[in-house]
Amino acid sequence: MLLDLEHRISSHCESGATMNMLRYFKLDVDEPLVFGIGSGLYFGHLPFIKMNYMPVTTYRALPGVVFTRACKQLGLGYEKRNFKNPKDAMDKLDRVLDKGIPVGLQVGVYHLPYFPAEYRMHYNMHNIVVYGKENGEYTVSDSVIEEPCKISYDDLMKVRYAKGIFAPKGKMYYITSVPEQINYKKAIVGGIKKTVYEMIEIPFPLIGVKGIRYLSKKLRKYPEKLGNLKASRYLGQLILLQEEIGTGGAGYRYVYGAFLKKASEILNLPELSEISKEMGITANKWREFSYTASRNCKGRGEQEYSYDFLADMLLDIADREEKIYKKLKVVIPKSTKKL
Amino acid sequence: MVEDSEKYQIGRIKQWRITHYSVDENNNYSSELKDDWGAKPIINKVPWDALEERLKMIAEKIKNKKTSPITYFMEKSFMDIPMVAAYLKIPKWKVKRHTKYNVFLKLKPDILKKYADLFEVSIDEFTNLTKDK
Repeated sequence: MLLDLEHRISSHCESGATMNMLRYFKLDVDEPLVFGIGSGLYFGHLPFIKMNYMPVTTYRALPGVVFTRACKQLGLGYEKRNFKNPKDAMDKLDRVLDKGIPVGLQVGVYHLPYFPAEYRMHYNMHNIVVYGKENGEYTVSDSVIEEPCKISYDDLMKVRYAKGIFAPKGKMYYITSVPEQINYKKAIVGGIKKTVYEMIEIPFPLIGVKGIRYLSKKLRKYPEKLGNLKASRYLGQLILLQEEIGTGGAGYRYVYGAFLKKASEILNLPELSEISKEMGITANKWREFSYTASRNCKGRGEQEYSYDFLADMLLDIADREEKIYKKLKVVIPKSTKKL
Repeated sequence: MVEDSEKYQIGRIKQWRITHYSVDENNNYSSELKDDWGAKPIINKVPWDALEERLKMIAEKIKNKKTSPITYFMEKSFMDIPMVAAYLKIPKWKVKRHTKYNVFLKLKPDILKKYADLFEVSIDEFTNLTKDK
C-alpha cells in the first residue's frame, strides 16, 4: 500500500514533514508558511545542555511544536502520542496507515540506515513521514533527503526508540480532521504573535533577543576562559547548529523572511514586506557572522578575527532583531476576530 | 575520522545536498539545493577533530590501565554512560563499573557481545585494545 503523498524537499525536517502531511490533505502551503504559522523561530543559548561536550545553541522551537502549533492555528484536528511498548507503537502505525493517513514520526538520526555517515550523531529531534508499507518495508518521506527512502520494520523500530536527550519514545502524530474553510489570515497573525512573544517578551535571560546578547557576552570570554583551540570548537558547534542542521541557512532567518513576505501578500499589509526586507538583511548578517567565525575554526584554532569582533557582530544582530519584533508587534492586528 | 569502510557505506547517501534559502536586493526569496554554503568542510570537521583528540587520550589511558575499551568505543559512537545503559537495559552503575580496566578483563563473553553489538564492532576488535601491548 502506498499513499498518494507528494515528497517535497525542504530545509527544516519538522516543517517539511508537516508541510508534506498538510499537502496530502489538499492544503496549499509551502515550507516558510508552515514554519511561520507554527512559530518555529526561536533563539536560546543553553550552556548547561551539552552535545558532544559543547554547549547547545538552538535557533528553533522545541521539537514537535511546529506541527502542533500549525494544526491549532489552522483549526485542524490531530493526534499525538508516545508509546511505552515498541510493538504497540508499530501496530498503531500500521492501523493508522491502513486508514489512509500519513503518519509523522519523531526519530533518532543515529540508526537511520540511509543517513550520510558524517552526520551520524545522536540527534533525536529528526522528523519523518511514513506513507506506505510493502513487503514489510516502509516508505518514508524524509524531507531533508531528495528521494523517498525505504526502511525495514526493525530499523524503524530502532530509530523510534533511540535513546539519549530528547528521546523520541515512539512519538507519532497525524492529522485526524480538516475543516472545510481554512482561515490562513487568522493563523498567520496567531503565528507571528507567538514568535514575537517568544523572542522579546519571555522574562528569562537565555532566550530570544536577550539570549543573543547573552551569547555575545559569553563569546567574548571564550579565548581567555577556554584557550584558543577549545574556543574554536565551541564556535564551530555554534555555526554547525546555525548553518548545517537543516536550517535553510542563517539559523532559519531566511525562512522566516520568506514567510513574512508571503504573509504580507496574504494579509495585504505592505509594512510586513518592509519588515521581511529587514529580516533578509539580518539573515545576511548571520551568514556573514558564520563565514567570519568559520575562519577561526581552521587548524588549531588560531584567532584570525578576534572574539571581541565576533561578539560585536552578534550584538549588532541582536539590536536589528529586536527592532524587527517590536515593529511586528505594532504592525499586526491586535484582534483576530475580524479576519 | 568518519567511518568510510565499504560495508559501512552501503545504502548511505554520499553527496548530500540540503536546501538553502537566499534573498536578493529586491527582497525576493528563493531556495535551491546546495552541498556547500561556503565553509562547510571546515565546520563539519570540528566535531570529528575533537573526537579524534579524545580517542587518542583514551587510548593512552587504556595503556595505563586507567580505563577500559568500553570507554573508547562509547566515545567513538558519540554515546555516554546513561545512553549506553538505556540501550542495553542495564543499570548505569554497572556500565560505569565496566569502564574499569580490571573489571573489563573479567567480563563474560555474552555481556561483551552486547556491548560489541551496540557499538557495531566485533568482539576481537573490542578486546584487541587491551592486548596490544
